Amino acid sequence: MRDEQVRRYARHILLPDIGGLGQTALLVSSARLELRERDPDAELIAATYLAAGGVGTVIVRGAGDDQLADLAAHGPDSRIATQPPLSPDGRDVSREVTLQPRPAWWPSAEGDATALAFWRGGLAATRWMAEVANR
Amino acid sequence: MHGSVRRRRIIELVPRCAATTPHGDHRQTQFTPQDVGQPKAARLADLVAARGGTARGVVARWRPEDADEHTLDADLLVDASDDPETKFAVADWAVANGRAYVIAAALRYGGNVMAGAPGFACYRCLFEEPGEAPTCADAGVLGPVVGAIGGLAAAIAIGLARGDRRLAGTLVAIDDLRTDAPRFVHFAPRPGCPACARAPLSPLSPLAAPVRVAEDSLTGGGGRDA
Repeated sequence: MRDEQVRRYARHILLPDIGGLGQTALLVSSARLELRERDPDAELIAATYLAAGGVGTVIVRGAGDDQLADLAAHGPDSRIATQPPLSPDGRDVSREVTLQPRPAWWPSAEGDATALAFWRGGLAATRWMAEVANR
Repeated sequence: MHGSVRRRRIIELVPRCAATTPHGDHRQTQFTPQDVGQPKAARLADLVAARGGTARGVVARWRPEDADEHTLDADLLVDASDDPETKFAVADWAVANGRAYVIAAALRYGGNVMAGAPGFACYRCLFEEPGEAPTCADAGVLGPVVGAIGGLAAAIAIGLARGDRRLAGTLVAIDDLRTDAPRFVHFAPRPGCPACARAPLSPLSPLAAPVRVAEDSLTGGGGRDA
């Protein structure tokens, strides 16, 4: 990692289950999401955290130009794309990000759709990054 | 249950950093590298306005002695600082002035959100005094953990602003988002709590809501979330 990357991801590197090796693993990893027609906010929030957290490639199928540009602005170390990178033998090497539905315990309130999207997107990105950094 | 929100205003609580920094962006995705050096409160107010809301950024550290000036017309306070002194000060001011409030914290892979309202047990009832606590700059935090905890805090704040008191006097704790479901801990007011003693409606008063003390009563006993 370069010096500015060490500074940018210092709060990740401090985590005992991530460290420098885990952050390096994130920088060479590929994440894959698909935007659904209905309520894509949670997927976009997950993708934003992945890009901002230094995931090397973030593939967002169905994203428009504005969404791709916004993601790129958050991820100076990420390549943002709509198609996965392929290995030399033609395999898709990206790893899917799985979003969970609204949990049963969620303290629902009128007007909380964006709050719920942050919970779902943040949770999905947390679990994806922790798993990849620990492999 | 659904009341109206009297005013919409952002008070940015800035205990340590007033401007965005290149190394803060991975957990605060409302800002981009293009915002580096700009005051967070002003930038955040611009973002709220762009979404159709009304907000005012106050670039100042929140201090009890200035609180009336900034906060007196607010119905609800949300603390997202990483400083125990500020969290206690915000909660104490809210209790003394009869306001609902939310105190949120995130660290490493987990976090917690406390919801408070007049007549219910307060932040000081539970934690008593500010203690030494590591910040995310000391102990680390995974960026999206901040987003998840922030989303939960926002949902609870929206409910409180609309008059929903089901989570008042409750700490929602998630030790590790990788594996754990939230625990909803309803706690009792602490006899002798100095904050509650100054409250217009003390939870220890016979007029206060009935005390509820239970854990996980909303989750059916915990377990991994969906």
